[in-house]
Amino acid sequence: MRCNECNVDLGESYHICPLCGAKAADEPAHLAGVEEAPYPDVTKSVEQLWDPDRPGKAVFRVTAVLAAALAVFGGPFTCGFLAPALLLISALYYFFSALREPGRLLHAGLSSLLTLLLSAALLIVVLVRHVAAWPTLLLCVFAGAFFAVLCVEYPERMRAQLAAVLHH
Amino acid sequence: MKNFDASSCKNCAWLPLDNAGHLYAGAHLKNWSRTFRVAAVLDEDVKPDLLQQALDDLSQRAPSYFVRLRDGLFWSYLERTDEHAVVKEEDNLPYRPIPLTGNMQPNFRVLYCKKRVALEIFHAVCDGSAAFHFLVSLLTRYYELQGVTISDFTNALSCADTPTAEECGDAYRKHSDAEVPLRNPKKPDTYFRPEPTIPRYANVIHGVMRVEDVRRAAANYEVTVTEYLAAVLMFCYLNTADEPVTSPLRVSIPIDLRRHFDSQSTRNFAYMFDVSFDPKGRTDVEFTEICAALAGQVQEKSDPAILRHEISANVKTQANPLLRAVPYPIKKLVLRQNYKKSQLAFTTFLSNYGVLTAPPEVLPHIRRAEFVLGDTPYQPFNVACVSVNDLLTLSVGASHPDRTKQQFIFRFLASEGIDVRVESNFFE
Ligand SMILES: [Zn+2]
Repeated sequence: MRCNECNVDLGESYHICPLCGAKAADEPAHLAGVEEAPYPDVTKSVEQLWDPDRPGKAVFRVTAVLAAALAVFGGPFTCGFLAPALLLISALYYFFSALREPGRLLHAGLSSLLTLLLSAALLIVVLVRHVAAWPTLLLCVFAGAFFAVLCVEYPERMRAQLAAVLHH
Repeated sequence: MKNFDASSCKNCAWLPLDNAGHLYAGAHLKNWSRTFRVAAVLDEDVKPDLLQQALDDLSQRAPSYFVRLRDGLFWSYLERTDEHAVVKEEDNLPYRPIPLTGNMQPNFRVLYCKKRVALEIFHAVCDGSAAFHFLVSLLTRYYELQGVTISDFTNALSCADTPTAEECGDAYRKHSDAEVPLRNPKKPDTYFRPEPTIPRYANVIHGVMRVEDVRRAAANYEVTVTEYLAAVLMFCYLNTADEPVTSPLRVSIPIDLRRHFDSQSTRNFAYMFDVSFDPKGRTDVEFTEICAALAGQVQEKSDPAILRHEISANVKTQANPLLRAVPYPIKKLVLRQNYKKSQLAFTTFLSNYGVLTAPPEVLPHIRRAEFVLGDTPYQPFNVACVSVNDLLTLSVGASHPDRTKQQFIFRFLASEGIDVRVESNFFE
């Protein structure tokens, strides 16, 4: 097939020129020996959007910000109990969300390290405000223990993962 | 598993990004990543099971491709992944952005549709040359699995070999010179008109031509094929512009640094330079004038001393201790702005891969090759070409349905006495 408007060859199955929309003429190709390489008909395919992020990380981030705000601006109960409890629940959710696939084990290790750092920051706020510190301390111990277990169990992988995240 | 180690990159768990990779990694948006496509049309329908098997076999030989982007505290990096099931039947538009989150798959996909095998890959992983090298290696293994004995692995990776530090390392860093002074480039005056885009829309039009015809046409104007195609693009912009063009037309062209430095890199190792022509608002510019202005520009700008200076300056900027200490989320904002700036500094982009080579037992099975640059949020129109077995395929991609420029380009080439065969992903 050919388009006489554009003076070009077209694929054998073409009825319309993709350049100008003119009707294809049933004439022999000038460029001999080239076969058509068709694309799929995408009008039938479903539009695939970007794969969504796993919810674990987003929930953890939002809760961490909320816990920080409660710790700084809330009353003694909110600061000492509610803030670490929120952080603990979201951290657990994050760990289990991360642990659903074996390949995500290392990310669980990193999230526990992050929880350890966040709970340490929370502990400082709690001590400065002179409210009950033991729930936050418990959170620190939990995250630290989880991180330590992963480091002992998978030392090479954890070392590599930390090196990757911290490299500069 | 360990971090990048020059002596055993086969087992490394992660790779630091190279100089160009940082820019592409920082530029990605929520629903867009810089993705390009290389493809080969074979002489028979693709066997998907064998293709997947070939990909699995290649994963140990070419570890630098089986990676996915991850964010670190100071820089993002490429993490190795063991998930290889990325061979799929093509059922969507070409060069859809590679998703960078939400799965464990490497940052590429291998698509097949009848006789075509396409590799779509995130640019932070590798450049066009490395992508073609990977595609040819994949096809070589694919034919090996069908009982073909490969006599010469010069142009493909052999699964019997082991990856080298040279292949997986940062070639920019290796070939840079620490003594080069830092530069402060000024934004050049450029003709640039934003074009409307439709998200995730991709219209590709391939023009297949005889290499000899294109070489002869270029020789008529005493320019190289790359300069000739850049001139055609500039002539196209001049003739399709709504108003006289008063700023210089700049066509950005990547240069494969492997051809100028001794490198076997399977990652990014290209440098973008531009060729320019200033029409000064004239509407009566002849094609011969543009060719005369472009003659020798590619040769002049590919001088190894200039190239080494340019890559050294880029590497030195990245090595700045102050910059290195800045947390990655902040760096990302700067990288995104730099990428946008680099995109707006050119009228358009043209990439000429040159001649695709493959082992002698594989080459006759490749009927033609295709190279599609893919769009960016700032540049929806892109042109690239590659030739194999005496056929050159010029692929024009656009993320809008307007085909004025495509029509001009292919009609012009036909008027030059070149036989052109046009095919598209949208056809009736
Ligand atoms: Zn036409």
